Amino acid sequence: MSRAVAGLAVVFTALLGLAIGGQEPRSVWDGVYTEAQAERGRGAYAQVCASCHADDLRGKGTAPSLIEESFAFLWADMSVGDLFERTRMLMPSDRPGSLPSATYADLLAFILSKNGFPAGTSELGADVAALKKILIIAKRRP
Amino acid sequence: MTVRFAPALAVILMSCGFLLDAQVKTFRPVTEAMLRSPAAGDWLNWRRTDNAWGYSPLDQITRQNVQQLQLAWSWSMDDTGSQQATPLVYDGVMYLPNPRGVIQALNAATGDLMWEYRPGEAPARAAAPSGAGEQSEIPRLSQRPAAAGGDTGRGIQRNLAIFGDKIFGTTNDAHIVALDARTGKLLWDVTVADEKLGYGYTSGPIVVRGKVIAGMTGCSRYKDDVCFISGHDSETGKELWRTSTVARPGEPGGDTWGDLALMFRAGSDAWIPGSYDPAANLVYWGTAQAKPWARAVRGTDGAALYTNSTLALDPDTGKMKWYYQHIPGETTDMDEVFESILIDVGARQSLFKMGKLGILWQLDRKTGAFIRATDLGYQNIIDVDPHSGKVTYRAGKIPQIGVQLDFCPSTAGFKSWRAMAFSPQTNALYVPMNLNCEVATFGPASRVAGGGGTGPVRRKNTKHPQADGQLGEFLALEIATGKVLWRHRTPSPSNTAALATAGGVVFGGDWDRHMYAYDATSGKILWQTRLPTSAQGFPITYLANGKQYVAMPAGIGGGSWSTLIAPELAPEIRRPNSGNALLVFALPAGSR
Repeated sequence: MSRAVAGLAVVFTALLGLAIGGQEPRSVWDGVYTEAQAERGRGAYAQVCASCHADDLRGKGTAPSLIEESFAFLWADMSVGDLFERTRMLMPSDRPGSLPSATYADLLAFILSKNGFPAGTSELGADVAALKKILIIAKRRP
Repeated sequence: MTVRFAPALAVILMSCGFLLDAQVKTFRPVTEAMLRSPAAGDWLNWRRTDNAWGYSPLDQITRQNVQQLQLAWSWSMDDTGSQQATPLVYDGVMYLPNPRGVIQALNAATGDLMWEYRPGEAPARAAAPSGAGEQSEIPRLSQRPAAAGGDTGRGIQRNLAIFGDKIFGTTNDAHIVALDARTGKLLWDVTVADEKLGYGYTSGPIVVRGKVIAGMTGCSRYKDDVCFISGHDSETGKELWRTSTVARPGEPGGDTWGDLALMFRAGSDAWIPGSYDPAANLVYWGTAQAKPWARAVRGTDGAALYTNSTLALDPDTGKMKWYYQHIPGETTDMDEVFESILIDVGARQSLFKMGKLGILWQLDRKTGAFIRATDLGYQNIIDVDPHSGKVTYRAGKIPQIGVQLDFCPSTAGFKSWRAMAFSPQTNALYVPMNLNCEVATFGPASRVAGGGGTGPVRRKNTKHPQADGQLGEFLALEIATGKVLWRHRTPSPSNTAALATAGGVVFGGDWDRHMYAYDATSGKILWQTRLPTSAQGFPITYLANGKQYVAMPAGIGGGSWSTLIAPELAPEIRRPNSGNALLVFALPAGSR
């Protein structure tokens, strides 16, 4: 009996593993935001971020660059959810967390667009759990 | 003749009546002698006196009566940027630098507005409703366009300068402006550098011998130019000299950057105001680290002159008389840019300075020779030879790209812009501190024009193992011996400069909205109150109508130094996300 239960558990675990393994994880290369959203994000960026991170996103003073090697170094292999949470917790530096969640999502869409990740057909949401399932991968898989 | 002109004069005066209300009516020009030796009741320079003591000889408020302090008046400040203000007070008038270039003149006894200079419409903020009261008649000057893209440091305007009949300020888009001290009218406005290259000011100028001297910041991006300090004619703004804070290729010291081209010699920002010794006729100015922060990222192991140094400059020509580089080839963002405090210790005409590492440097201010270094014992990055001042990095504390390391302090520093104060009564420096450490991995920066910057760092701030879980400390350090007289730890970081007074009372404040009055000798807290938001900026004390006031700025912003540490390490401590203000305290009428 107990052996049968153990056997079932093994089968179940294996099936679960397959189910998880079989689901292709999404990444920033899968069109996770829209062009319109990135455009909204561009406006918000100019208002609240450009003062420190500069118009070209390369950073100023102690604010790091949000593009190129710098972005790849800081965020590769983390999730868009990680980036969203950190941005909302610490930015803008004089008023952390002061923007609507949707605006943080728009800002991330703009930053993703400036890093060359493609736009898609659905907008990036503000649900952290969902965003955590989108990986930031610096280079497109061959 | 006199009789015939009198009625005409009366008509003119009547028609200008409201305008006169908005002026500083009895303004006596500020002389060189006044700046060098301010009246006891005035606060005429950034740290009151040229020696940057942050000390006032006023003694109406004493150890015995400070418990009676109460709010005399308060004033909301521009709330669209970062606050780290130092008010100036001259002859009963306060000149207040607000964020984003706004400058106001207030009656220092009441807070009533006398004039306001506003460089342009502040972003993302509705216009204030126009009231029917007196203030609607006060000219709201808007005489130069707001910064287009330049907004270095989210509009921090740390200090102003005063000389003659002018108030001098610097802007976050790299201009220096001069206002009429009587009316706030813009007299001149010079563009010192191109804000599109990242340049801007966060600190205001000092004035020495008719020269307005200011240190540039925002110098971290790669471009065919380097950071500098410049001197300007106070009458016209004309640039008289410009001294690079970076040794260029081919110049003396140029080889300390290895073979890096001019474009890749970044940093050495001069973002804290200088001090001045009239006897030596030398201005002392600090410089920040090289950029990018880590040697491996910027591509040279060299000393990188004149980064992280104290420079002694001739105020008339800008010529560098000596330099002392505190940490050659600094590599973990440990600034030594901060205030130079000039104190004579016996016969030693000294300059004291403390950087992020919490090491107190004592130099001979005539020659720049090393005298002594006192390590508070919290940092774990370098060792300093007690005889030569030579710095050696400890094992494992020089970052390699992509390799995690840990160090104390974090890049926020134990000591930062929060200036120390010196009391000649106790022969002690009062040091506002921020105790924490960091686990960090440094990453690469783009090696192209417009790239560079600080370089990216994956970091996690941690509490300091010696701090009992506390994040702040305010300590008294005896300068002759380097002995700690007392220390007061707080759950949140110290967040203001220190203010020492002849009444034996020292003032400071923390991130968690506390303002403290300490007994300068014992460290006992004699009085405390809570502010609308973090205590943040440079408290001062002054006389108005013969009465002593203490002004404490409160505010938010300020970059990593104020916004990362407390939310990450003490999330239970909260402050409002608004509330830039000045709070002014005094004893009740009749108290002694």
